[in-house]
Amino acid sequence: MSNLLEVRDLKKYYHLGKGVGKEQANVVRAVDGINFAVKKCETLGLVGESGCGKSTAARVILRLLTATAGEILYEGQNIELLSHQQLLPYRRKMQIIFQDQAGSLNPQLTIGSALGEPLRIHRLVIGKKELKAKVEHLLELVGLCSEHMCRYPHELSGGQRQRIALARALALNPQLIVCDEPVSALDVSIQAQIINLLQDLQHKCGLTYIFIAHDLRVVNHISDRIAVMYLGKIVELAGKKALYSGAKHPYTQMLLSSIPRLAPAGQRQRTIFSGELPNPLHPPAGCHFHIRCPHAFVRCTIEEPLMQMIDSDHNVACHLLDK
Amino acid sequence: MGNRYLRRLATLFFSLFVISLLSFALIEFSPGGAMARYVENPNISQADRTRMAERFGLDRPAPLRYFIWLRNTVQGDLGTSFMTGRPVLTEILERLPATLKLMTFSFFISIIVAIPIGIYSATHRHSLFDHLAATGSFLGLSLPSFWFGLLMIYIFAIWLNWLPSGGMITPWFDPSAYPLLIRPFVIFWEHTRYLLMPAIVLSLSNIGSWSRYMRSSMLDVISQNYIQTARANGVPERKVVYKHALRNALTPLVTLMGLDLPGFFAGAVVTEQIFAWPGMGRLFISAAGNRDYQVLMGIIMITAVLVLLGNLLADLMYRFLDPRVNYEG
Repeated sequence: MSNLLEVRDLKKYYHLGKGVGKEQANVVRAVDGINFAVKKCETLGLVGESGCGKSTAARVILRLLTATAGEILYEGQNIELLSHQQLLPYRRKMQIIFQDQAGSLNPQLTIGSALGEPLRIHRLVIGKKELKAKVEHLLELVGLCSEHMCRYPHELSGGQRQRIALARALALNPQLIVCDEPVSALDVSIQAQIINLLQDLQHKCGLTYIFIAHDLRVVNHISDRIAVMYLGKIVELAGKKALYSGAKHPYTQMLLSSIPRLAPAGQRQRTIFSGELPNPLHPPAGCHFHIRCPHAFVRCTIEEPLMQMIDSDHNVACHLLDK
Repeated sequence: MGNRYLRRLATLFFSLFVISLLSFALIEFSPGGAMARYVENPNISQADRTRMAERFGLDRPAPLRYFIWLRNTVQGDLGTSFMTGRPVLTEILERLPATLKLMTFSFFISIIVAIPIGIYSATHRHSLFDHLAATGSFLGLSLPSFWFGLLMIYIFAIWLNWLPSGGMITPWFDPSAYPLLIRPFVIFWEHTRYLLMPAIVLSLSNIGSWSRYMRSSMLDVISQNYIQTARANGVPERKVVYKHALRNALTPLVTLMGLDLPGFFAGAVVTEQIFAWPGMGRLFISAAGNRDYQVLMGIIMITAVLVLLGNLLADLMYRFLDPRVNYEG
């Protein structure tokens, strides 16, 4: 299968407090040179702690934020350099849904007009009748009915709002949907419904997902491959099975051991998380993770580890591999 | 629904009652009293003053006078002026249109200037314009209106001689002296040139605060995800700002406008004095100087009614502007 999206050495830096002599010190490297590719119809999970740059990466990929450096190749075309007009066809193919379902719908617009807007912008429908039919179809697709059309977002529940957000993302028949923690704000039973809906739609419409989450169970359930991010960098990228059975990076191991499991006391082996995410303004030298890593040695404090391929579908950035 | 409005109405009347009680007490406790201005006058003897006080009913104890005033006011009679002997209501209604004209004009100036400044500052954050607007609005908020008003008179009336220094209209202004074709423009300009300076002075502090508020409200909305979604959908940036963001950013401003209404009346007192504007503000100052307490009470009550009604209107508008506001509860 060919790559639908490829990200090459993508960077997004924020310069804080521009001032005389400050340019050097105050740079936050939210996304610091990430590389990955997404194949058609697959789901790439993107996990990591809060503040590791997952959401920033998502927004840069969709060009909601301008990248500092790097390439975003959509079907081979670098969309990073396109103008607003040139980008319009790609806007149709890439959509995003957010964690905060209340904030992702304009409170002033009824569901009907919110769903109708992308259709009108891209002139995909002619006349009011067709618009209404298409909106009804979209609502049906996400398991809602046409009577929701004249409701306002605040009249719906969280799960229903997330379905609406999904319906709007689907309105333009996209190929790629970036899901930025789409279920984190929902309770567990609704999470399952939305996840199942996402999977159904993937089969029905041939969608590709980039699925961002901090909950590994959810990511495990839906993803084909998983990328683990730490402080703006991808530290491990592997197929789901390879990652869960043989995680190589200590950070991934930590994340995996933190998943709550039902097991008799004493039978569980847990690597306890120590420390917190360091200040992204002053990340530690060498491997960013070494201050929290139980296996860190001298080299980790000096040299930054590079991504190495250890298997056809397993990449890790860690000095332990050479040891 | 109806219950809700009844409750609002009851609150409104209760507020009016408390305002009247407090103002009456304040006036009553202030030194001097209604007859104080005659003390220095050698032509009016102590006996004359006692006689006058009796005629105005001032010899009765204060609580009783308050209740008499309240009874009459409820019936629509605000009493008679100590100075002119004319009914207070007539005096006020003569002056009210001028004040409302000034306030309306100044309100529109504030909106027309503040909102675009706020939008531009928010969409071009940290730009040169944004910094200038920030400085300007703090200046506008902190400049005393009496000083700024006098400065404007000095520049535009005395130095440049572009605008009249005060008043509301030229007494001998005769529109029929002009050809029919340009007559509406002449009339419009005649009114505007007198209005311009006092209205600008009156709007100055509002422009300052409203533009800042508009900026932050706009920034709040722009960071919302539905703005991102609209952009991801390929909605043109102009439409994102004016259709999605602006309407949501404007609603909180409506409340602020309602709350700033008292500021207009308070500002009008000073502004009208500087520009010799024949409105309620000047009546208030002269009534205070003359210890014409009946007129003072009347103006306070009329202002209170207008402010409370304005706030009620702002609340109702909010309900129409924001579908999330639910008044049932």
